[in-house]
Amino acid sequence: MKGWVIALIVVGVIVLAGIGWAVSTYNGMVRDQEEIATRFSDIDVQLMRRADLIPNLVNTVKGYAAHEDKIFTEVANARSRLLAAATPVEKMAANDQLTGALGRLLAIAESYPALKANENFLRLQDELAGTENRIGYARAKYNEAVRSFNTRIKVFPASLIATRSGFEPKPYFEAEPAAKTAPRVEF
Amino acid sequence: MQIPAFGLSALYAAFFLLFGGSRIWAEIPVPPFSGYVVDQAGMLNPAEREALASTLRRFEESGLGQMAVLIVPSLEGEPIERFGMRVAEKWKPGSKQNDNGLILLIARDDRALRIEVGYGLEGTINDAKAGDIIRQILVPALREGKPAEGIRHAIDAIAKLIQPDGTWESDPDTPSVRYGADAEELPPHVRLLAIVVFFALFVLISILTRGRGWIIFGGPFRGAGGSGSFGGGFRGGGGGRFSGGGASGRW
Repeated sequence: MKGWVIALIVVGVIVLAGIGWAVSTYNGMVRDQEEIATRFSDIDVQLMRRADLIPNLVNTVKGYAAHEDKIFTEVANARSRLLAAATPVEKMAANDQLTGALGRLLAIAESYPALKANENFLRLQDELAGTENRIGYARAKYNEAVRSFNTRIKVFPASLIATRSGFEPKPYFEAEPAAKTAPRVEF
Repeated sequence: MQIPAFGLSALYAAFFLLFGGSRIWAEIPVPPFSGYVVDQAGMLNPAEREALASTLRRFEESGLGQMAVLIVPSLEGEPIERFGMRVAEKWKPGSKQNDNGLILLIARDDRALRIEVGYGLEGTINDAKAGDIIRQILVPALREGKPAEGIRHAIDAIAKLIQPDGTWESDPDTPSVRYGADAEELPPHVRLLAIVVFFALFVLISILTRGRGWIIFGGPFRGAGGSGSFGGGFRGGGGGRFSGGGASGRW
């Protein structure tokens, strides 16, 4: 009789501990997922800010280099693609294209000394560089959060919970192979 | 072929930040945050260093935030923006509540400099204003070989921005800086979005971290750094956060 009660208590404790572990593991995964969403919105704010700086920058450059139509169109197209992008992956791809187009725009600006000395242009470049820098930093933080989540859901025994709850690994934000090459400078 | 000065270099820096593993530079170590002024390159003499440290102490005691100066001999090829974030993450100047830290970085042999602006000061000192201070005050002073004077004037200009008509006793010989029109600040709808996102995050974070501390911001804050070995009263960083704001330049 006594032995039976003790066995029941032991089993009960083990079951409770198991449930407790499952709940806290599940909650941990949910929190990780929320952190990833938070990190992505950090990136998103900066992407928006970047898109908003571009018309000003293009107008300033146009004032000095009106005939460089091709690059203006290219920048404008890349910007609309960024604004139209819906998913995180699309956004990052569009952003990489925009980075390439902007690199070429700034390279063209190099051949206009009066533009290079324009204070407004310099300030816009500061803003743009700052935005780039924040995107890079936010991206690194996002990838860290994704790495932590992906590891958590793959490691046994937590992977059992992840599979049952339908948690899927999240994609990293890495530059597309095409965008990895530095912007080409054409004259 | 010329490459646009820091516009492109920042683009590259952003690129490199993504690659994580595949670095093409040696990472120089971030020195300990042992005082307001850490000069590893010997650009300042002891008297200048002491004077700047006492100005920066006054800056902190006036409640403007916490500003630090770091001068290194060389970045060994690392983009200054990336090095700046490494310093910011280790030093954490500024308070945890206000994120009002600032770091002025100078890399002697690279002739590169950067003002790293804490998260809470990004509105007051936006990237363009940081760039204006670099171009109009620091670059000319560095070109003339007067780093101490440039740094002193830059601290003064920054203090004036944070406290336009407050108690900061500004230096009469600081050249006035021409800042751009406020039109260069965030457009209204972006500002609105930022506020909405911030509010949503705030709510989210407070739900997620109820009773668990601020885990969302990458682990517990390490306590204040140095123990005041330099010029009394220095207590190390206060846990201020940075998100990559500020501006870079070359001289």
